[in-house]
Amino acid sequence: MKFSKTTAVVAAAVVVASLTLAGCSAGSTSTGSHIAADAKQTINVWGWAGAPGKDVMAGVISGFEKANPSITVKFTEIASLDYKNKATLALSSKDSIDVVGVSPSAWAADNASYLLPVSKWPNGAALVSKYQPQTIDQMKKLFPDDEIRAVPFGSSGSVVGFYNADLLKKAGLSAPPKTWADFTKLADSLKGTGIVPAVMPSDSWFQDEFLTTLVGQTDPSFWNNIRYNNGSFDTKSYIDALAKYKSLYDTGLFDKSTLDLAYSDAMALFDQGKAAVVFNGSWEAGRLLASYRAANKVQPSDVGAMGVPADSADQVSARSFLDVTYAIPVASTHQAAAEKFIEYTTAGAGVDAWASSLGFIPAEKNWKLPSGLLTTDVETSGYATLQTLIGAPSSDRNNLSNLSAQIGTYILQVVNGTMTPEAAAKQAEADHKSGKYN
Amino acid sequence: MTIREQPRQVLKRRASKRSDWKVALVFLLPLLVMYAIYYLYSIGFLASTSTTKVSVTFFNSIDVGWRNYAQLLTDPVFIRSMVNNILFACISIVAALTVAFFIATALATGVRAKRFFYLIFLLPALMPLSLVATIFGSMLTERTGILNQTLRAIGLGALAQPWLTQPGLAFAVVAVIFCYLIGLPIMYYTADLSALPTESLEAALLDGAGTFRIMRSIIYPMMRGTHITIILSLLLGSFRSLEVVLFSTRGGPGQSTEIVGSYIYGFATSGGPTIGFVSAVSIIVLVIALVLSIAQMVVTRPRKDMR
Repeated sequence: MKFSKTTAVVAAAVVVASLTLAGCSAGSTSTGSHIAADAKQTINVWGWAGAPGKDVMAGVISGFEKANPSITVKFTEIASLDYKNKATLALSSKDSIDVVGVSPSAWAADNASYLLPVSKWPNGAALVSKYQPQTIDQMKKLFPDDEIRAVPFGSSGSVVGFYNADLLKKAGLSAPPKTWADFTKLADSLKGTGIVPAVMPSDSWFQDEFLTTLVGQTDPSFWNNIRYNNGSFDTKSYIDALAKYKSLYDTGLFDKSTLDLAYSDAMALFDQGKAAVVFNGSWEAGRLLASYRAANKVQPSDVGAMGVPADSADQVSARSFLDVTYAIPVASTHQAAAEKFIEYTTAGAGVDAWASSLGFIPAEKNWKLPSGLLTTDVETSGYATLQTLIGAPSSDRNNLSNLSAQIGTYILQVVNGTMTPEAAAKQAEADHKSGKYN
Repeated sequence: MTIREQPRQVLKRRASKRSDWKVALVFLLPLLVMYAIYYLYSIGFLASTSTTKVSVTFFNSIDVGWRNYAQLLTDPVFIRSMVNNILFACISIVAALTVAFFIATALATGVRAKRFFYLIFLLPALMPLSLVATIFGSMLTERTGILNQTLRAIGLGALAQPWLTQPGLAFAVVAVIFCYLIGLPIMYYTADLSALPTESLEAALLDGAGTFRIMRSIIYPMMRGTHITIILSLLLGSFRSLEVVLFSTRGGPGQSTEIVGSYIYGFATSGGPTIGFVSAVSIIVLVIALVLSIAQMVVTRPRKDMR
């Protein structure tokens, strides 16, 4: 086949023009020519596993799409361990994300420049007034200039305990143990039964969560001091908490044979009725629901929630903070639809759909748990306990995740007797000051 | 050949050598260019990133000079990771040079069901390392692991141990997993055994040498090249054995089984501005690997009188 010179020139011109137009079109996406909320469109929502997860979000999304037939939601769930890196890369490459889950940690500040300030959202100011003021205050702490770039979804607290009400009854306890003396009664009643008094994930980040909860019982300002005032780990209260934690294993209240349990193994032991209490975060509160227990073959017939016991009952506390927040990337071209979705999910009709799974306490003002969800007194009082612990925390659970994972390894060494509490506190402080972990 | 003819032939040979060299260069050039771009650029990029504080986006990096290196070289966890790395490599080398050599030689003598045994020994090396390590890890948990449960069931509960929470035991567990992968050394030895000249073995047999004497005094020294290949491949491979540690002990207890790979992994996946620090670790590992490779070239270089 032969082409004339003119044909070749025309073809080349067409190709160049097409490429230029394609380039312009791509450019317009990234610079943000915005599509109206009522136009037919698809929005991309990114979140990490468990926040609150694809299964739970499916109900929220289907409700939203029914209420907004012109908007289709594509939800992408990413493993929590990979989320921060993947989301950072996607945001910096201006990928087409319209709603992004923001981890309420140092990550939020690191990625602030990719997120649209809420004041610039189409109805941002009105939306902010729909959340509990405490959650907005916490949100401000996440960003460097007090200008919030995300809105709260829900809060969680850590560490809390979930107890097997059947085993507590057998031990003669009418209420969950609030002090270590009460907990000793429970442990004594289980001797020789093959059931351990308590389990928890041995993952180093969780060990740090537990230790920080123990410190918070005697020194509530400890963590906020570290987080916001450049305070030190090498304090008497931290060293005392390390010694206390070690003593819990040395005296047999906690079983050393559980120190190698991965997250899922610890939860499985409790679910199989082989542990009286499992310590974890309030995001595991789904076990309070009879429907959850039936669907997941959880052995205990009734499950309640409690705080981590302390030397005296009035010291029982937990740290809490926002757990999931939602933002709109600067590069999104669907900002109006994205805001509609965020409003529906965090402060609208969508809240009940995810909050009923009890993973997080919604940030929405005046939200109440739908009636009939919790069926027993143990479940109901357990949820009330969680609300109290989260509502009045010892300090913020505004974590430095990488540092937390490192310090957790020292805590495990203290429990194993290969490091002294004093040395662990010194090393934790050295790591904190080094700046290499966050 | 006359004396007058000699210089002409020497010149001819030299010219031919020069032209061979040019032909070789033409063939090698595309590959060299690719290597230069791929490796030199990567190394240069790593080196420049290693003096910054930056996240995975590589935007808004802050120049921190040598601080990453200073922190690294004074970090006891990094030093322990390096030491562990070398110790695990040494243990697996000892296992390869003894057990793997013995198995390969024994199988080469023509035992029955030879192929079946090859399969048994090679299979772990062919399986994904992450799977092998995960199975080991779950088998060895103190309370729920199958090993301790079996020991308790047969009345040997006293032997049940906290395999993953006692530093010494956990170290031994990781060492065993490293040794468990002796399939590849067996394969190296088997390949080399088939090319071994048989005259020396026949002579030894005629002289009345026993099996173990032949193994120790004839075959083992004749396989010097294979030993060196195995030593270096295991040593360098240990720096890439992240899965072994990550899926068995997770570096614990208390980072006592941490290796360089798991150390890097922890920082690289943190999601914070730690990529500069990770690059500094990578440069140091690269230098160590380079030193080992140069050592390999020096050790395996044929002696001058053998050239």
